[in-house]
Amino acid sequence: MRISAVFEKEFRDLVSSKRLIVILVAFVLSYVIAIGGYVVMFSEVGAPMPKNIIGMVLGSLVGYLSLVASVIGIALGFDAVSGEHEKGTLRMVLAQPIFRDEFIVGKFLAAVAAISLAVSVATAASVSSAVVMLGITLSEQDVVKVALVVALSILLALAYYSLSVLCSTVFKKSSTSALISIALLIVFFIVLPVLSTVIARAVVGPPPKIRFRPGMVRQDLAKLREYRAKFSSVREAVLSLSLNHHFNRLAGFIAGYRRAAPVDMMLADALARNATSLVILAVVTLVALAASFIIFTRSELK
Amino acid sequence: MEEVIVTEELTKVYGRGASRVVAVDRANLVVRRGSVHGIVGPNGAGKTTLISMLVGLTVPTSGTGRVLGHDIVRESREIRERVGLLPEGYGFYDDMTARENLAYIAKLNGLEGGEASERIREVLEVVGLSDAADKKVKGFSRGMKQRLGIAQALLKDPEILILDEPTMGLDPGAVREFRGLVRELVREGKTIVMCTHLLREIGELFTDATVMVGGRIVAQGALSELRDRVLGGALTYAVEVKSSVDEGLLDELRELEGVVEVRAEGSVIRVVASSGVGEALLRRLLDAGVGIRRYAERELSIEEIYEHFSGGGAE
Repeated sequence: MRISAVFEKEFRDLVSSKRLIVILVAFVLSYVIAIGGYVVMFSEVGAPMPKNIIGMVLGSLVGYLSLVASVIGIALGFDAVSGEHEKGTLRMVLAQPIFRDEFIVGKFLAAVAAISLAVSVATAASVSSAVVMLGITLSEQDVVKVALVVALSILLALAYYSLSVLCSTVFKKSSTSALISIALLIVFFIVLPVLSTVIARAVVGPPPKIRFRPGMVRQDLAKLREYRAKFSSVREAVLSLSLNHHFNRLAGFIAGYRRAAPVDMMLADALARNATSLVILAVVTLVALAASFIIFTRSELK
Repeated sequence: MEEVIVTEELTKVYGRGASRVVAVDRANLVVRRGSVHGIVGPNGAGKTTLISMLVGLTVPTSGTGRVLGHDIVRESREIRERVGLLPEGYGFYDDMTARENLAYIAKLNGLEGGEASERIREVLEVVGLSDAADKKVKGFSRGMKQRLGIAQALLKDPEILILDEPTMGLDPGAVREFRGLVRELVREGKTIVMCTHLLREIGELFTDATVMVGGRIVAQGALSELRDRVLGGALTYAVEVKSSVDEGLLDELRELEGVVEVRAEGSVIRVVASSGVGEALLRRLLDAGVGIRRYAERELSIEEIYEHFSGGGAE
């Protein structure tokens, strides 16, 4: 009853919030513009439509969603608790016969619902635009791919949401919470990919110089492959700290999976190769939410 | 009279080691049903912490308490179902109207549908906000927000109303309105507990008072009892005279039966007495040919009681 009251109010506030609407409109517009670029390239320039155009469409969707889902999570979470502190509404609400756990759970559930709705609607609008503009038809497998990418985007958004809520619970000021949440996004999205290359280069050293001499090509190629494997493993180790990397790996794998393969095979393959990424996204979300819950329910209003 | 709030050795300590602060120190608070109980003290005296513990917003470090028979730790929800609280530093959702804010709070109190709508209409009328019910709160003045704060506390038709610094930031007109509203609520039989350090504004409403200093309750009881404790039930008189009064005449006044203290402050003679000496006082002054401009007889005010027990001044 009380949880549902909080859920209802929070959900209404979240889905009607200007910041969410601005983010979604910006996402759909920028995606449509990107698809428009393909249309211009294929129709006016006369370049042939590639066979895996749907793979390109889904690939770019994953790229966009990686950023947009993260931003949505932060936008909805950074002032979830601190904002209520600052406005004095937390005092007003907790003066009513409601427990703190009911209040925070109501907020979490509302965020899950709002994020799911926002990501689904925005993706549906974007993909529909792409289908119409490019004149393509989606197979059953393509629809499943889009649905899986949406589900993973929701998970990524929830991971960022939970981290932002944690910041919002620990730091009583929304400005501090927003700064730290954005800093996390910059680290995950920009710093770690750059840093991973720098670190890999520093650890593994420069690539081997290949001298093309008769009879030596195969050995040189083996050296190069070994170097690349070492480089990639170091880079992967650094990137494994990034939530966006795990999303990109998993969602990118699904988006790029060969067409006409059975859906169950695709799912099994995706899980077999990227289960760790899925677990990390889920665990980060749950741990951050649990930490926020514990801190919030144990804190006191002075 | 029935005691609706009772605490025993209630204590709240924040922090540890060097940062340890005893916000409330072994407080034994008693509030009687139907009273207007002022908890008075300077900022940082522990008033807000004390009432926060009463409604479960803060957990006591030690001690116990019961509000309307409910344990303040184990049954805080039951307490908040029956007690309306206007907390210090409260706020509303600015993008929602007054009615929407109240509808949300009504739901949190288990009120929905027609019952909630009717109750919201009633409390908006009580606080005089019916005309602004459908306006967004962000356009409200401080006084309107304060009235809305009282409206939310009244939604559940509480037996006890706890108001923390209710007149902070209000203009004199709004304070006057607030006093009228409190008197109306008292007529309805509510018990009202008010924390304040602004005694001049609402001190006149109190029937009972608790004086807090440095986290400790230094005095509490009905105002009549507190007056008795200050000066044995003394009365004070102020006589403004037209001409100066010599020390000899003041000594004669000091010798009147029941007079405890006489002092001249410019053209005003202040007298403290343990019994009614007004008539004798005036007669002696008139016999001495002293012209009288003004005469006032009164009981000790809550400010004077507070000053006596706290050793400091109220704002």
